[in-house]
Amino acid sequence: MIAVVGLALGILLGLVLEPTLPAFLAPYLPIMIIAALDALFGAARAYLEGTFADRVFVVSFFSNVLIAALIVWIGDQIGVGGQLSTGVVVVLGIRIFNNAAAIRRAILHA
Amino acid sequence: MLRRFDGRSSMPEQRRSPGEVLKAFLTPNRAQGVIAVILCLVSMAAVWQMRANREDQTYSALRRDELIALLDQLNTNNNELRREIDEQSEQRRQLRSGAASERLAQEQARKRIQELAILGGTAPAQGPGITIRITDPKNAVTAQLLLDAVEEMRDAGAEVMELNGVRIVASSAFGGDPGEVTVDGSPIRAPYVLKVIGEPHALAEGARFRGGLVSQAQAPEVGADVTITPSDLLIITALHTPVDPRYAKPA
Repeated sequence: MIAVVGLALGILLGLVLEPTLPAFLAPYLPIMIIAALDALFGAARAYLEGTFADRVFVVSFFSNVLIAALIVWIGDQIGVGGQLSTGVVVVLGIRIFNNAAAIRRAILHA
Repeated sequence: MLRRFDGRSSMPEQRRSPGEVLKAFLTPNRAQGVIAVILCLVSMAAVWQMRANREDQTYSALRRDELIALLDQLNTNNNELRREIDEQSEQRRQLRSGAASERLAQEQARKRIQELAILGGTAPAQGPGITIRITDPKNAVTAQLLLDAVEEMRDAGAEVMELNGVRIVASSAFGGDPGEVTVDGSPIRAPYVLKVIGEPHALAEGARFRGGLVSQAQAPEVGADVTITPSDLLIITALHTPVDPRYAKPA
């Protein structure tokens, strides 16, 4: 319940505040969002499997997001930023699909 | 190792049923608070990114190599388009000059057609000239005398002539006896009215010189009376019907 409220609040804040993204963050925010989605799916899976721990979730969430941004940033510094960000998106996408499959199995037993 | 903050005192079984999930969903606890905060952050970031993505068509969010590729492509496009412009404008120039010269040729051809039509007697004509009126009380004016009159007018620079409503052209023929003269086969009767377009003074002089038309016509054996009227605007509407040559062809 609180989680849904948080989601709605976030969307509302994003719509109302209309912040201008800092320029240095602009290329990394999409990757960070994908990493965050991955962490959220992972959390949902863990919860359904009964292994959810909020401390683990918080730590893994921020570390995933930071690592994803860091990888892409390093890629940019050494001139393979485009390829690396594609790679990160692919890996995270695969993980999201895996987690989604586990969630589906947990809920629907299919 | 893992602590569970799922709101249950007992260890749950390994999998949760949908009913349990729903129940847990409706019960607030710390884990939900954490998730709420995280979801808030993520959704906020996602919304920002979406907005930025939608508004930001400037290229500030792109990487350097992407920008370079974009610039390269734009340059290539630019060059191609410029070359196309060059080609097209060259083509336009050619077409335009072609059209201009064609128009000039048409203009000249039209002018020439008009000149030839006046000369050939197929177009009406107007201009300064004189009218020569020859009465024939004795029925003594011959075709020869009229032909001489026409020849003298030609010598004096006549451009268009009409005799009693018949256009005189290069092929005009005079025939018949005095009193029943024919021009190009059509009979004409006295008084003979010869309209001539040309320089009026020169034409009048050409008719009046000694031994010329006037003196011939007014000779006692002919006894005709000749009146010459110059005018500034003479309109000749009689037309000659050209006959296609049967033997002669353009060489």
